[in-house]
Amino acid sequence: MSKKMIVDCSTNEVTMVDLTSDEVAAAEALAAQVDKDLKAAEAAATQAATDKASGNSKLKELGLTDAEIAALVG
Amino acid sequence: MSGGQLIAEATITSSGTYTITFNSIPQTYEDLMVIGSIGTDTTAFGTGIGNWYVRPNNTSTGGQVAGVSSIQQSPTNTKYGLTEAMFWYIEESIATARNSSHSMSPFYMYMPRYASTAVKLQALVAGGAVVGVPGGSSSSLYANSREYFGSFLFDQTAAITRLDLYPSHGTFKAGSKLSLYGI
Repeated sequence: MSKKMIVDCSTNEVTMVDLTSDEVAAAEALAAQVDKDLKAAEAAATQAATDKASGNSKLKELGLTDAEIAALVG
Repeated sequence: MSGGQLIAEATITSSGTYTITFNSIPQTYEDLMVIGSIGTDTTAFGTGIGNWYVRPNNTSTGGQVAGVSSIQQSPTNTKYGLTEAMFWYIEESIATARNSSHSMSPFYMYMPRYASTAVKLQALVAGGAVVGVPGGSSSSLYANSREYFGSFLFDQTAAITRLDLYPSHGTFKAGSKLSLYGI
């Protein structure tokens, strides 16, 4: 059972309290949401890299040099 | 000029602690500062990436991130509009999974005018960890660094009397420590 450490700043008393079932559920929901967000961010980054490589390839097919492509897209 | 004064410390001596709460924070200082080193026991990710959070006054409705930039392989991963401040890349699970000789991730948070009921709290946050192997290539070190730096706005004019800090995954590792100072 995960716990909360509560530090009372007025007395310096430290108490350990079990998480309630609602708090456990909230923690699990938070972890699931973070997992989902991170996977979405990774997918977006992968897609952006794919799009960049594809764009560069098409520019080269048009005859641009690497230096010219770099000057265009930074 | 007077120095800072230690108000309270939270030291994790065994695993299983999900939340650290500083309660009944005295209103007698001008500013607050939290410093410490933290880690989690999560192995939820292959690289152990996780977030961690601070919730002022135990409310999930009043706070929002104005901008926290995290630096990993891409320059910025910025989050907006959250209901509580979020900081990316708490130490990972590196201390157990990868670099057991490293200390845990340093953390810093500065909260000026925390006791004011006239203005909304703006806080500065920073922290991170480098998990690359010393002597490795610069690109390797860059890819294995986890940093965050930014600020958050607590969108209420309430004085800060309580802070809850907790990770997105796992629980705080034994040896994690946070100290609350009044300035």
